[in-house]
Amino acid sequence: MANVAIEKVRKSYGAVDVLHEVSVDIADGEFVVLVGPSGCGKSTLLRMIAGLEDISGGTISIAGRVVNDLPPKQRDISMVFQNYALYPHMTVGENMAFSMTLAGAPAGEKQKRVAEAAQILGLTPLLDRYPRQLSGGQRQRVAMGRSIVRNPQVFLFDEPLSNLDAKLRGAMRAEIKSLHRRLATTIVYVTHDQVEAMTMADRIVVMNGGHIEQIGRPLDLYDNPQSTFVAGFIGSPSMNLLNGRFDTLGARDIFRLDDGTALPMPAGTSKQGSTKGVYGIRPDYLKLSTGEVGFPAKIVVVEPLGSETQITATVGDQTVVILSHDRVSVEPDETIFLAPQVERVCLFDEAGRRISRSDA
Amino acid sequence: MRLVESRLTLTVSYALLALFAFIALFPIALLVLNSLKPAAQIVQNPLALPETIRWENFTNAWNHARFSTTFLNSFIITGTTIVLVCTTSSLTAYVIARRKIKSWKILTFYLLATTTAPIQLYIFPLYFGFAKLGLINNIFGVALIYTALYSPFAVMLLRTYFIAVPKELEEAAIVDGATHWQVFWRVMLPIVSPGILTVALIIGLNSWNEFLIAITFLQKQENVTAVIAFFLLSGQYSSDWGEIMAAALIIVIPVVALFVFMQKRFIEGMAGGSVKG
Ligand SMILES: Nc1ncnc2c1ncn2[C@@H]1O[C@H](COP(=O)(O)OP(=O)(O)OP(=O)(O)O)[C@@H](O)[C@H]1O
Ligand SMILES: [Mg+2]
Repeated sequence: MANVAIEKVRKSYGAVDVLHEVSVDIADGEFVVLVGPSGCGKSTLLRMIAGLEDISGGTISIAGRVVNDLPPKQRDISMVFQNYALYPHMTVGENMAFSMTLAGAPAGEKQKRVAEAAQILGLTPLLDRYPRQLSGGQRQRVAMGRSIVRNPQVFLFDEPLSNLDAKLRGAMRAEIKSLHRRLATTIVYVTHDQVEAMTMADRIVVMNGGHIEQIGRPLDLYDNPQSTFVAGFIGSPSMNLLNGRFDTLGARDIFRLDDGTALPMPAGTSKQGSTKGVYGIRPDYLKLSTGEVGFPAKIVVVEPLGSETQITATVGDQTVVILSHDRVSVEPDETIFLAPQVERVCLFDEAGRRISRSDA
Repeated sequence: MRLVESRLTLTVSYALLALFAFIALFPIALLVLNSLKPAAQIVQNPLALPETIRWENFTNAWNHARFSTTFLNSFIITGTTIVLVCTTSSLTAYVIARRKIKSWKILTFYLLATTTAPIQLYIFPLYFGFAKLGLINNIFGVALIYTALYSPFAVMLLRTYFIAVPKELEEAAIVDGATHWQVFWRVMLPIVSPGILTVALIIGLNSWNEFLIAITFLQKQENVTAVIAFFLLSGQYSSDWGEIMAAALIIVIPVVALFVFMQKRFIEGMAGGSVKG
């Protein structure tokens, strides 16, 4: 077990910079998820930790040892690939034992460790099969088994669930999480699926275009996104981000949308005057008001989902999504009034950075 | 309606397959038939069934073509060529497929270009070169020429097999602690083994049947190959056609046997199941 320290790590392919001075500190036994849109450099960072990619600048240390120039086998890590990368000519058992075979481990020891790992993952009846005789989920488990057998200091996962169907993905998510609880080994897990990130991570690293946008615990990111990017990326349906400017109405500070609609501001927000900004409110925190309280919006679509109803509406030319946990009887083209829960509002400046509240 | 249609397609495809099978098997059938007849009968009617079966054709063929030595020569040349081509080409193909060297493009182009150059173009310079080196009448020298001749083809074929192997397999092996050599030997090679088998079969067949180089570079009686010995039969013994047919059959048998034996492994795919599917 070990911590992983990533300090000002850069990666460039020729003249193209893919990662710009990325720093993350991963504690011993922590489950960290790297999440971000396609092409943001998640896999590249993971592969640099694994030693499959050169480090252009900065340092990566595992268990206090700088590993920049160490080959993968000396880093004491294991990796699960998106396409599993099982050796097709070896049985499940041989696949799992391969690292020990290479290291020249005695047969008894090998068998014991493979049996243990197979037991944990429910692979015992499949040990003599070949990868082509397994289902997708089973292959996924074998790939994990291969990692477990090595008993590494750090597990690295690169989108291990993206080839599975939704149901299996849910099951494997739970399985990986319970595996982590059981082994308590440091895990770095890459995904572009924010649901996976939210459900599995101790801490999430949100990446965008080779930068780290924010690092934090799942609910911290959900409640306190530090940028419009994180606000839009974490949570589904994503946060409503409305463009407008900071204004006053009489003695009150308000946020005025481009079409003139006035939205209430949380107390103690320092930004004032007529500067532009972004008003962020999650769909759950926009309430349909019974009277004419709040601001008017015109309904476009109503989607009843059973436990909740998702309503899409327009305010001026901007779209807002409302998630109502009560049954509501509204129709498209109807005008409704929306009251935001003011203490849940997140304000961002023109560049998309969070404006902190002065009283907080 | 569908059933009728599919039956029609089935009939047509079987008819076509039967035709191809006939085209392929007819010469062999003729060979078998005539190898059992005395020469006079063959000249009369090559298609007639033998009146008397003449087994002596085979013993005569074996003795006159000195197959006990010439077969051994052919086996050694073919075997050496297969081993040399398979080892060098698989290594080269791996390096080119994975672009592990900067000049992989030039090398690929060079190999492609050499596959188009005919051997007749440089057989004389090669002969004098080999003569200087004292490699005339040396069956290993001939195997060396075959290796050079067939390598580009083998490399290009194996390259496609290596390219088809997902890069992650190599990386998984590296993370598992394999050295570059172990990655090649324990992961890549078993996966591309159907390709190597294909190469071995094609190269083996070509070296077994090769004529021009063998007759140019092997001039002593005791080191000619089976095919050359067979060729020499026709002039030497005023063409006893029964005997020649028998000799031809003897030469063809190992090749046919090999193909029949290898067919299953030949078709068997190995790459399935390594990645998602
Ligand atoms: N060999 C390479 N040469 C040049 N650019 C590369 C190379 N490999 C990756 N890149 C670039 O690096 C960036 C990050 O790639 P990376 O594979 O890390 O993305 P990712 O975040 O894992 O995306 P995905 O979710 O699609 O897997 C991409 O913009 C990609 O185009
Ligand atoms: Mg990726």
